[in-house]
Amino acid sequence: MANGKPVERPLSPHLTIYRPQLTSITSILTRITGNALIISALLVVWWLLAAAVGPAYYEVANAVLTSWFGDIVMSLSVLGVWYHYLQVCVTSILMRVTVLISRLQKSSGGLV
Amino acid sequence: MRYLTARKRAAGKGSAHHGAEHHWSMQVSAVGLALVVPAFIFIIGRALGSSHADVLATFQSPFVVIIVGLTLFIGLNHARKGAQIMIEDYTQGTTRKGLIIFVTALTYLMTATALYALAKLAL
Repeated sequence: MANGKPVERPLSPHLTIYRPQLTSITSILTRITGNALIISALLVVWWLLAAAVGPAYYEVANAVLTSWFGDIVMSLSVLGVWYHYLQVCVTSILMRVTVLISRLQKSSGGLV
Repeated sequence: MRYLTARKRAAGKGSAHHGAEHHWSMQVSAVGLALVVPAFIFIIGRALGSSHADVLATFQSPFVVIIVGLTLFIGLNHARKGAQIMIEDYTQGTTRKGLIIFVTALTYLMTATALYALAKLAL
């Protein structure tokens, strides 16, 4: 460490040696849903722009978003946004509870 | 040889090469989004598939325009920073820089388009 040369370290997800756990899978799903929602946002913004431009363009965008394919994408989007929302809420609450429990354990001298 | 301790050499060398401001910014925008996203989902969900006249009528409401504008403004900023985290985790060098610039341009373009559309619909 003391020779001053940069150390070649592997990038963060060490997939080849990783053992999946419930917490890591929910975390990865949060990343996937969050980033996939950019596509949903793109569709909604396009739909808004079309509505602002005029009735003819609106019909095109509205037809795409409510076609069978649009229905699948928007249904997955609403599932994705709720998953992303609730996962982050649940994770932060569990983190706070864990911190609280460990503080209680320290202050009670191992009684809790 | 540089006279640095291992601790000092490691400081600031996380995947993003800077501190916790990015994480804190994501937490702040997440709390903001938690407040507006449910209303946004119901507004867009109801409006999708309705006639053009009905959409114009929906976007006459200040509540609707402000909620949709807030959600897209904060949401796309949150998306830009979130996508940047993923890019920093999986890519390096020129690819990383190019992708971050692309995501930044795309999300700002989407924000500007959304605000233009909302202004035109509302006014």
